[in-house]
Amino acid sequence: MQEIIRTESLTKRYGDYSVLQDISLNVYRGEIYGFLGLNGAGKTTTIRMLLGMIAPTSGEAHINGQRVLGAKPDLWQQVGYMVETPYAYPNFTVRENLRLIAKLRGLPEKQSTEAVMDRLQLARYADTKAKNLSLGNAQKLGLAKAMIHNPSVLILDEPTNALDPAGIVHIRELLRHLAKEEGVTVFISSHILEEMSKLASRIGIIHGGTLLQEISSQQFEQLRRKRLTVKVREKGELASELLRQAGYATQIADEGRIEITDESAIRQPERIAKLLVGADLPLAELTVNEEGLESYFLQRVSQ
Amino acid sequence: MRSLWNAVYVENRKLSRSPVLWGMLVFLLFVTGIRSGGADWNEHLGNMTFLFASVFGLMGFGTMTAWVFGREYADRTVKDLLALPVSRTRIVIAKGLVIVGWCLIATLTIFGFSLLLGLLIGVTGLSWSIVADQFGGLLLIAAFHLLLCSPVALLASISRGYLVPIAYAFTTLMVALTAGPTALGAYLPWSIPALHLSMSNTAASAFPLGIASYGILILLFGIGAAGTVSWWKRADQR
Repeated sequence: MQEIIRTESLTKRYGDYSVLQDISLNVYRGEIYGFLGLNGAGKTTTIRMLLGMIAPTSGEAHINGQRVLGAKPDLWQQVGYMVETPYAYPNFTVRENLRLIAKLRGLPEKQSTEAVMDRLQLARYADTKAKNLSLGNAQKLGLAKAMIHNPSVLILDEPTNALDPAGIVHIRELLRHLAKEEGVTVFISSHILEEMSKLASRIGIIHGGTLLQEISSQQFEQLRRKRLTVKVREKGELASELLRQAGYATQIADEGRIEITDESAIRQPERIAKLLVGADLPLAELTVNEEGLESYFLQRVSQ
Repeated sequence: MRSLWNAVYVENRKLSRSPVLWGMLVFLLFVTGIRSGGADWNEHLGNMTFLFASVFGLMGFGTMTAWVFGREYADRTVKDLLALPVSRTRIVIAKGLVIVGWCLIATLTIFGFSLLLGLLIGVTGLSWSIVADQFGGLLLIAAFHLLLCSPVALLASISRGYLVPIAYAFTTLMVALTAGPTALGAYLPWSIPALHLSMSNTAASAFPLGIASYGILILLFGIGAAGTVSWWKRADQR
């Protein structure tokens, strides 16, 4: 698979203060890579480095095989981006703002402006001055500026955090379509776990400037699933063996807890209880919960 | 080249929509109008040129430059200009060209206005050689002021706004007015335009000040321009 975005040990220090340490990641063509982290984790700094707006203290970033720092301006014809809160020229309308970008990018002004406004459902606000836009529409304008030239790489910093639910779904479908049907490579950063889990094909968790872990969409699908957790006072292995013999797929989690993700166990937890009590293995704990991405994420970043 | 032209077109659209530009033009016209009149055309046009050289040229051009660069930071739109198929150097050059263009238009406008006023008032002794002379003098002063504007652009970029560079423009103006008449005057960049003007009335050559004075203007321009381009290209844009 073709590697579109690559960083090698990206590090950024301001004096003694380290913002990013050794960020190495790859994003392949047609992937939607989700960069997930708390506020201040280093997401925006990484994105600014991918766009050549900040020079790394050490390490390199590459897009389409070219080094970002000192890249020829042609590279940016392939890249659309939105960094942090999107701003536009306040006294220019949506249409006028887009025409300015179209002109700078050497595109046919009218055509490309109308097309991108349709795509992002902004046509209704075409003649509204940017200073009078709601936050959600301002964000859509930012996305429009990022997409107006139909780039093959999209780098988006928190693209949906101001949108209403309809807007979020629309953008999600749009990005999925772009990635799947047009092979656009998308790099998104966000702190909204739920949205990220629905959109990204791979998630990189960043915390305190370090890339903690990368998980694929299959892995976090498993994390989202409901599970039954049972803990016995003693003879944990015996309990586990018993459950396995009864046909449940068991896994040992932390502190000796036994995890079962089988549908049947979740629907009828009393059977598990009966089994264990019947075998004289007193229960200390039995819960059915959906751990989900949120607690997994919070657990990872607190370590 | 086409990308430079596109950038110039866009910068021009932005500046021509700005109240700062039109406000400055109106202000310059107003000041020109107030100071019009005199015994003859030399005095009438000369008053206007002197006011321009000593105060309003630097103020007006400086404010425009501060706004063209500073507004991208104040409106937080600068990040849209940093990763484009137009290089950052070209963006800076485009801004510079648009500033030069509109400053020249402003210069032409106040000269034309002054001419019109003189005709309306009925100033005596109109001769086209006087007009041509005065026009040439004014254009030269305008060029000097444009050279002085490049540090304004640099300050706007470093301070990420337009307040600091405007404060700089006003401060240098005050320094020029204070130190201009002293021995330091010929070496202080901001007093050189007015000094040049006051000496060129009596002097034989078109450039009455020493070569060091004009060299200082060019040097200051070079530092400001190179600094601005370098800042846009290399500095961390957070």
